[in-house]
Amino acid sequence: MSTEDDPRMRLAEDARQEVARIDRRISIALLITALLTLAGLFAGALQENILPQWSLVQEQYLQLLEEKATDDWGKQVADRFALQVSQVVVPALGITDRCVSCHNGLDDPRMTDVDQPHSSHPGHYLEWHEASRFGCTICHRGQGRALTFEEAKGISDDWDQPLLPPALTQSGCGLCHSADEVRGQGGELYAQGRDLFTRRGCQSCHKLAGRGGIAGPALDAEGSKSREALTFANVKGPHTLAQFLAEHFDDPQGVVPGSEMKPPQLTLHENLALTIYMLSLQDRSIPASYLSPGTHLELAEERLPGNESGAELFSRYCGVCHDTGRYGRYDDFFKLFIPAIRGKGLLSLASSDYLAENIRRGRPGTRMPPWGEASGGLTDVEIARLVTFIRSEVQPPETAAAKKLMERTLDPDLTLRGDALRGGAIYARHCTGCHGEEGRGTIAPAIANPVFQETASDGFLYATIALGRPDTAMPNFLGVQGMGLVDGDVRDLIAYLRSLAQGGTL
Amino acid sequence: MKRGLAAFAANLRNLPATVRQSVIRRGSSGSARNSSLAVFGNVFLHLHATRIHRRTLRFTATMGLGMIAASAFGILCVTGLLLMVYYKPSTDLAYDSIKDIVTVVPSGRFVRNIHRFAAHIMVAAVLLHMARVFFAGAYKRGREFNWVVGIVLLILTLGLSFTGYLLPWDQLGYWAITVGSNIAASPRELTDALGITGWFDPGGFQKELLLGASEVGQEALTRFYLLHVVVLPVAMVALLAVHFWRVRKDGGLARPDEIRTRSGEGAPATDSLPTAPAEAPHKTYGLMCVVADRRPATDLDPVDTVPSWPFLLRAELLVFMVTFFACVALSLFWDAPLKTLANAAIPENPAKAPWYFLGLQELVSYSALMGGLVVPALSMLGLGLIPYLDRETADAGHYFAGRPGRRIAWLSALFAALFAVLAVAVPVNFGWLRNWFPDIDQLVIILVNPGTLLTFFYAAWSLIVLWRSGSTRLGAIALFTCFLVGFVILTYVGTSLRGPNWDFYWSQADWPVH
Repeated sequence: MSTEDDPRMRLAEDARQEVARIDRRISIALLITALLTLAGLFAGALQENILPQWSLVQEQYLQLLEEKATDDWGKQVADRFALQVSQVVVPALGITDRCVSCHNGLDDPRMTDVDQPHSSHPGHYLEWHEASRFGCTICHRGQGRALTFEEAKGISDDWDQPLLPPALTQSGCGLCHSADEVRGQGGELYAQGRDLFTRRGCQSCHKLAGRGGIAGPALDAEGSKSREALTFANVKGPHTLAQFLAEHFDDPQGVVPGSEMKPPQLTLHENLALTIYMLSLQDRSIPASYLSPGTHLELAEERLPGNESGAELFSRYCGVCHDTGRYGRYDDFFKLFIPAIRGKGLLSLASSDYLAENIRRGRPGTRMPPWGEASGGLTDVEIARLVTFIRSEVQPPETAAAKKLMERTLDPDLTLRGDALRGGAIYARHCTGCHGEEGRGTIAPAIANPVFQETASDGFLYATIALGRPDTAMPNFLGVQGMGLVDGDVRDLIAYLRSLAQGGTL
Repeated sequence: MKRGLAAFAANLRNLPATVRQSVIRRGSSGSARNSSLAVFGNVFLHLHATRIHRRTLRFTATMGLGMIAASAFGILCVTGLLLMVYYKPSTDLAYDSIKDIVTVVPSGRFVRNIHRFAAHIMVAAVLLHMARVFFAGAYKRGREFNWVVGIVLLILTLGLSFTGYLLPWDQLGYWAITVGSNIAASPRELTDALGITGWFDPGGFQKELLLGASEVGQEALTRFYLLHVVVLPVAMVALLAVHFWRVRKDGGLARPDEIRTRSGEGAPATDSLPTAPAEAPHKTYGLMCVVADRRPATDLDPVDTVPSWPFLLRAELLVFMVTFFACVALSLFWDAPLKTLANAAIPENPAKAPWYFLGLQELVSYSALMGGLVVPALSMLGLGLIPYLDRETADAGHYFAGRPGRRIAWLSALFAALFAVLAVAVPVNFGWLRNWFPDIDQLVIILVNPGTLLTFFYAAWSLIVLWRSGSTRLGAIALFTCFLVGFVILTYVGTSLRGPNWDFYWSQADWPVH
């Protein structure tokens, strides 16, 4: 039996050939993929290590150095310049900034006339803000660890603090300085922003350092707010915090639908200043050694408030709603009558204790928040100062009848009796329109609120109803000169009002 | 003395050869014996059989899937080790260290990208490998246990990928792990509904065991880091060794019977053994006696076997190279994701788990307990038991067990796809029990929701197939196909069609602007 004829031998030969064929294909494929992989690895190494952006920039800078090397010192600088990644590390501030790898000429005064990124830092800031002690991102923001311009700007999804436009860099001043220190030193906009913040009464609704109203969110960390915490659906410009703030100041309801913030009506310049001030409010901790004397002073005042006058306190915490406080006014935005708390109508009836107590505890159920230390952050001293300011223009009662009424007002033991049921009917006819059903308040204050019920004596109520509130929309109800109520009607009304407090309608 | 010097000189001359011989203890000739020696003389290579069936080399036999997964694991070990050089497992430093790896560490970004893509590839390859092995019926005839080992390896793979997700300490990982840990706490659904959480809270226990605290924080990071770089990889290596070794001990790849005996076909009936081919193994039989089993290569005809060295190893090297190339090429063009620093105050919306868990997250959106624990546990249990409940051996090694199996697979795929789409489409369009009966008991929803219904229908379908065909193999094919198709469709829905608040969107472009 020859080999060719043996079927098993033939099969074995077939098998061998098949294996050889497959093996040859595998070998060729292996060679090709190995070469491709090698090329890929090479490309990867090249991409990241051989031609990084910073080294190209540094080569350009070296050329500049050589061009500008007119004297021995210049030549030495050029000779010593080494191509390498450089960085500023400031552990105290949690900063690692590699910006200086490309911005090489920051502190070289000869580089004023060259283009970015080689040019020297404008102004003289670096002279007393050494880059080695402060880094760059503390003022400019951006991603300090990055080594390409694109990533350093930090506009992508992976970084929350994008590079600020140069105009907004002043927000950095506020981290260490008080506003007064930087005024005229390059921090004008920041200082103006802070002035605006206090003058415009932002703290009527927003808390800062524990002081302020409760209608809006606290602003202590507004400047370091994450972009993920904001909704950019209605923001037209780039999706950054600064842009959000600027557009929001122009049109609060347009950017945040349903926002209850009264549009602050800012000029373009004021908008910029306030945006800068907001950006300066960050929750990053700055070591005490970095804070300026002025800031130390401010911090001390915050703990031990304060030398603000009653007038300053009034515009800061009350101004947005009460305006000057002299006249009752209908606020178009809040759709409310706002009482004239500095008008003679109230002041001729209300004692200082009454005023202080109402400021301290607020008016639950109305927009008036409590301002006492536990909530609004104002100390008793400050509230006393406010009361003095509110009283500063009060006129003494003029007519004999008014004087008599005031006397009754001041008598806390005076209790008036009346028919609450009948009073309810009178209330429905005369009062519901403004004060709301059961005293819950609509456009005029809620009478049923417990603080008012507790602090206002019956005499106070009687006088208010009888005389009305001059300078406000509240008319006088007693007698033929008023709305025609008689003494008994007023007593019944008071009885009804008192029943509201007991009923606990709020 | 002179003789000593001469000997020394001669030894010096022969140094390369003697060193080589001391390491590789075989001759240099390419004989079959030396090929075999190369394999069983090497502690690593001896996980292979010394000779394999030549069919193993064909692409369609394995499609290289297991080897892709193993290669990806190797790549992950090496790149992971490189990343460990710079990574700092602390909530204060982790994010910055990843940023440093990406920005300044030489090739750091490249290595991190490779690590990420290799992880994706590994998960995908493991799943496909399981499907390949299943449809080839390669879990039969002594391979039952190795199938179970494979299921455990699948779980380890998912665990490795999941624990790695947290390490960059960015928003992506933080919220994915938060979702995951809430799934661990999901038995509370049941205990809450029964009102016994106060004194019996296995969900809370599981979550705290996972996180070491009530929320994702430093303790969780430390645990995940340990699991990711020590516990799971060590378990993985050990089980991989078992997995490979059992492939060899179970007789190599599963083969149809007729292939095993084909060389005998048409052979003249003769008592006398034909002359053995030159490459017939000499030593193998002796070695195999120890095993006292018919399965290893002993029952193979010599003409059908080829030496593992170099044929199989070359093929394996090719698969490795292709895998590595894929990782490298992807890494050149796409960066591994990294979002902003983890922030417990700002939840991601939607907070999505890694992609291979999004099918589960889709089920979890109805009931975390059922979707996140019970259904996957039942699936894993069902998968693990398949080889013990389907004992038919006839079609081992045949893809789909031939024509009827193929038909059942197609039918099951259609059935599974229809019901998976329904399970998503019905709640999206018409709501679920809570919308229809607002006062319904939560227990009912836990038990009756799209996830549990889908599982029920798949199981019912498989039983129908089993009953109608009278074949456990066909029943198994029906069940596995349903599982696979359901997994793919739900994963797609969870990945691409779910947006903020887990609402349905055809495209991410329709998501509300954030």
